[in-house]
Amino acid sequence: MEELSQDAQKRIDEMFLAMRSENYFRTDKLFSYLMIAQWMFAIGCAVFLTPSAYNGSVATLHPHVWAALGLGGLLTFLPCSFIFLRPGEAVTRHVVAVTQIGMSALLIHLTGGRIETHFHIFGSLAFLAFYRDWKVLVTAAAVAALDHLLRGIYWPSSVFGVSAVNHWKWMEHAGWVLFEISFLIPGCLKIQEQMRAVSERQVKLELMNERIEKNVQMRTEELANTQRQLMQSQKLEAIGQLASGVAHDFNNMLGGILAYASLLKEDYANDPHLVSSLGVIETSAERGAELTKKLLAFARKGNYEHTIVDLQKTIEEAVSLLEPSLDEKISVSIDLDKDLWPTEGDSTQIFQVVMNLAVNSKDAMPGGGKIKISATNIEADEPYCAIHKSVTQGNYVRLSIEDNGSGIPKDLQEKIFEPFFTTKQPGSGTGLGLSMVYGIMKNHKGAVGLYSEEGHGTVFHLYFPRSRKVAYREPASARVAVVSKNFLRGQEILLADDEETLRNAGAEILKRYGASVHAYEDGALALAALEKNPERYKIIILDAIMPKMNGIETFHKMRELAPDAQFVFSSGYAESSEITDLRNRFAVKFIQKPFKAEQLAREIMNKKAA
Amino acid sequence: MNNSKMSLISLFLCGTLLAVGFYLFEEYNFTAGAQVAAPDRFPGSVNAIILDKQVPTLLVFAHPKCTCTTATLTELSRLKTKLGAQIAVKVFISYDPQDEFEGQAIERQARAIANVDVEKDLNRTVAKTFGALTSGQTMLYAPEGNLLFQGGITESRGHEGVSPGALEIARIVTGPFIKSEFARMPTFGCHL
Repeated sequence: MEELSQDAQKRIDEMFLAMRSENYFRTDKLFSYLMIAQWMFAIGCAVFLTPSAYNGSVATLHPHVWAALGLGGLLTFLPCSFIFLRPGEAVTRHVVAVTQIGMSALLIHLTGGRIETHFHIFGSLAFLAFYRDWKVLVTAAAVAALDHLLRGIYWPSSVFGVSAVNHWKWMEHAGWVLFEISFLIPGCLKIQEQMRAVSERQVKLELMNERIEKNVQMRTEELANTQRQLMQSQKLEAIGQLASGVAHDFNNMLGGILAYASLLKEDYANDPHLVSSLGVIETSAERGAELTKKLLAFARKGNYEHTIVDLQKTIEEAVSLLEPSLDEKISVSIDLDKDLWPTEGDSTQIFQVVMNLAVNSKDAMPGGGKIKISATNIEADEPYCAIHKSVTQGNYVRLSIEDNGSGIPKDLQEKIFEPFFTTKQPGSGTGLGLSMVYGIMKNHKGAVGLYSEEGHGTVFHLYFPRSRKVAYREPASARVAVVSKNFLRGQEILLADDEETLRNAGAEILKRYGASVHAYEDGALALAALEKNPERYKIIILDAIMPKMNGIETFHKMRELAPDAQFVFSSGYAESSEITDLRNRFAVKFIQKPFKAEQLAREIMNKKAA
Repeated sequence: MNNSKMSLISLFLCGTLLAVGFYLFEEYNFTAGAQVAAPDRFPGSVNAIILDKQVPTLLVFAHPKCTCTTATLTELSRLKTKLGAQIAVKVFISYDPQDEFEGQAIERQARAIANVDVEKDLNRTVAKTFGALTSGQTMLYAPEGNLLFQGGITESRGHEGVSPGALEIARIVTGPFIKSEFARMPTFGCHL
């Protein structure tokens, strides 16, 4: 049985009282009509049955007519005045009860004491029971009993037909009234009980409706939130595509600059002045490359993927983007456990979560402070979940973003995840940041925990479920520190890149290390070359994005022809999940454009060594 | 003036008027009509056929339009039904020559009672002989002509139900007719 709250109990009481009160009002009104009707009936009886009294042949108006008019009028006016002035009140009901019994007495007299008219008393009691108030019946019965008692004392023959009677004889008559109310009173109490039960059912129904409405509202808000997120992601995707295209083209340009600068440095190693100038070019190109890397990181927003996430890398990227905008008085520290469990998700979304929370931390510390980003493995068992209510049992990687800022007041802590809720100045915040954090964590089947003390700071815990998949790890043993000249001597390398500058630069670099390079402008041409002589090429370098046939498709076809060949992917875009998947399955290599001569050589060398 | 005060004033005024009104009403109902002593012996001036020689004779005097006498006749009917042949009943309905009392409700009601003689008492001659002044007055004479009972057979004005008068008549008729048993009860009704 569902336990009802104190408020619900109060509501039941209110509803019951309202229902009872409505019945009192209704019955009062009914009695006002009945009283008038009875009065008219009394006048009718008097006029019809006893119109005149006689003294010989002289007729006068019978006193019964006056009694019907006067006493009947008073018996009607008194309850009606109460019903008009004090409707629904207890005193009105009792006045109605007394006058109703008085009306019975009058009618009995006016009809010559007929036994039939005595039934008016019993009818009146039944009518008074409409009030569902047992006390009214007691009053009516008491008046009837009192009437008989007084008659027994002053006019005994009017009740008992004899002049001298036993003092207790009146009880015999009152007994019939008591007999009737002994049935009516339990009936009234039972109906009151039923009224309470109806009130209880009504309140339960109201509560259920409230819950349904709340659920609908919550779902509607969730839908609206999802729609906002979708719009936001579509916007980000559009910007991302633009940024991605710019970064890609820029990378290709930088690729040419960086590759040829590094080649020239080798060619003119004896000219320190030239080497120094080329070093400046190389450094500038590398800074440009860093910038495009950030652009690419941003560009991936909206293009959600579900892969094993490198939390370390994601957090470092976020911090590197955040740091330039931070006040000098704010310091950021990162403390990640060494053996974090793998977790699945979208690194860009996680990046976004970290950024949002870190920006909030920054805003909470206008006078400066510390932001600490940490991650640790958590085995959330029952006791842990009892303390951290937002978490269900399981294994998680807990990412925490902590600050020692102003903190969040207790009364706001429940609202901060609601869309458009913000404490920031208009124009400073959309109120969507934390709702997006909540939504993203929900997408990751994770949870968000919050602990905050006003004036001391806030810590957000993000719980990412542990994944059983294994992340790709670069084999440490395969790392080669120094690249030797001519290490590619005698090697025939197949290279496919649609960007002429990079294709030529790549070929040139590889030739410097002794390789014989066959470069093609797309995957289809390179595949055709391999088909002619599948045994010829042991190292194949493929640009990931190419017209006609892209690198991935080319890879799959080439692998059928030359299963023993070593494949290296290069791209001006960030590493896609497909390439990560190939890295895990077939141990292919990936090199991010732009690259210096030595970087390419090192990757090839590592690949060979592996 | 607020509703509460007005209602209390109404309660006080109506309550007082009702108490006084009901008291006066009851007083009216229980005020007996005028009555003088009936002849102890059945008067010889009256037609001797009126007096039954076997059973007691009950004389009932009624005003032809007195509505209170309706109750008397109802009770008379019950009494006659109860006592049957043990009592002879004669109803005298008074009237004046100028009045058209013929066919009035009282006469019809009286004639409807089985085994009851109904006679018109022109100019209230018989009533005057027996000293009857109030409608509903009865007198019970023994077959020997002595008065056994005098009074009404309703407990109040026009009120049906068991009455001391009717009970007394029944007691006398069903017992030995002893002179000392004579009883007098009040009569409730209009003046004849």
